Amino acid sequence: MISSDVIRGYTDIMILCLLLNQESYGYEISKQIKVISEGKYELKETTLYSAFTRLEKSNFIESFHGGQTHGKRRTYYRITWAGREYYREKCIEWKLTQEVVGKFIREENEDGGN
Amino acid sequence: MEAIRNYLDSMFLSLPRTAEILQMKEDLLMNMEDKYNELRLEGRSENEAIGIVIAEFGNIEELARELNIDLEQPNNVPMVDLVEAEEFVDNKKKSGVLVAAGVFLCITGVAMLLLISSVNIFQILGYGFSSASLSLAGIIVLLLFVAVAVGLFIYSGTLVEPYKYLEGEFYLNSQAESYAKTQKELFRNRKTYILISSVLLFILSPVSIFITSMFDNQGIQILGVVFLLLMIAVGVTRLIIMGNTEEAFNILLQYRRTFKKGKG
Repeated sequence: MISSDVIRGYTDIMILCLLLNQESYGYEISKQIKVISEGKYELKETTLYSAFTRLEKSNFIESFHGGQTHGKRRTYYRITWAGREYYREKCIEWKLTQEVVGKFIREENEDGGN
Repeated sequence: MEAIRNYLDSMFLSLPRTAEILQMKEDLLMNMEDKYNELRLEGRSENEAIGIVIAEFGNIEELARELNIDLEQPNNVPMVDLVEAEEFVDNKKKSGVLVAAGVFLCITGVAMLLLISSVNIFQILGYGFSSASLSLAGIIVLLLFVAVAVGLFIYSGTLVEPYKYLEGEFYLNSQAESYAKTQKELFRNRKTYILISSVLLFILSPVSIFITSMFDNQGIQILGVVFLLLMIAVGVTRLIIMGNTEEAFNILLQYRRTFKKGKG
């Protein structure tokens, strides 16, 4: 399990990525994240809905009511154009971050020289 | 499943009941129930499944922060318990009685004005008074009645003043809620009875004028008008008391309505 503090900044990317091809709803998204991360990362409900709130306020996603299941209406989410743009920027940012931080990641035994 | 709902209820207790937040709560409940059902299908026990679902809920403060709600603020939504609900209903009833008494005084004040200015006709006190001085006396009595009525109105206002916060957002605990519901239910028959009897009184009140107009006596005719006013006064008084009692229950029970914006 990954410490949630570190990865929290990237939940936006994960959610947007899952919404790129299809609209979805809360539980489906959190399940997919669990599956794709091979169980190494599991979103808490409140983390997921904080992200929804944040992304919707920034107009990166929009919510709508889906059909009824058991007489209740689920909230579905779809990504907006601004959201796709933001996703692309975040991906570039992540690659850069990975590249920079990667330069400082050494295995313990490599470190021996200094 | 009930445990999950209760848990969610308690988590959302500190958040305002806006449409946005209630929808979010509904969504979260559905997610948690889905998760619970899946865990059960995987063969987990009921307690285990509930435990996992609750453990994976997270932290309500995280959500509140994103919604710009300050949970640190001393509980912005007051909770009404049974004692407070009973006190409110009691005071609201008392306030209704006082308002009704005030209105009664205003109407009977007019009746008094009528009676006093017609003292000559009744020949009770002889003919010694000029009509101007009788009118003046009548008006003074009317004003006295109205003054007392105004005092009653103001005092009735102070009785319900401490409960002004019920106009905004509040929570009713389950005891208080069932109290308000049963009392309202019990009050229903009485309400119908008061409504019908008051309306009957209003409809019948002109009868006193019809009857007294048959007499060729001005004094009796004036008494007819006075009687009409009294009947109306009684009807209005009953309606006001009834309305206030009914309103007390309705105010308590409307706490479930949603609010457009967070804090009121």
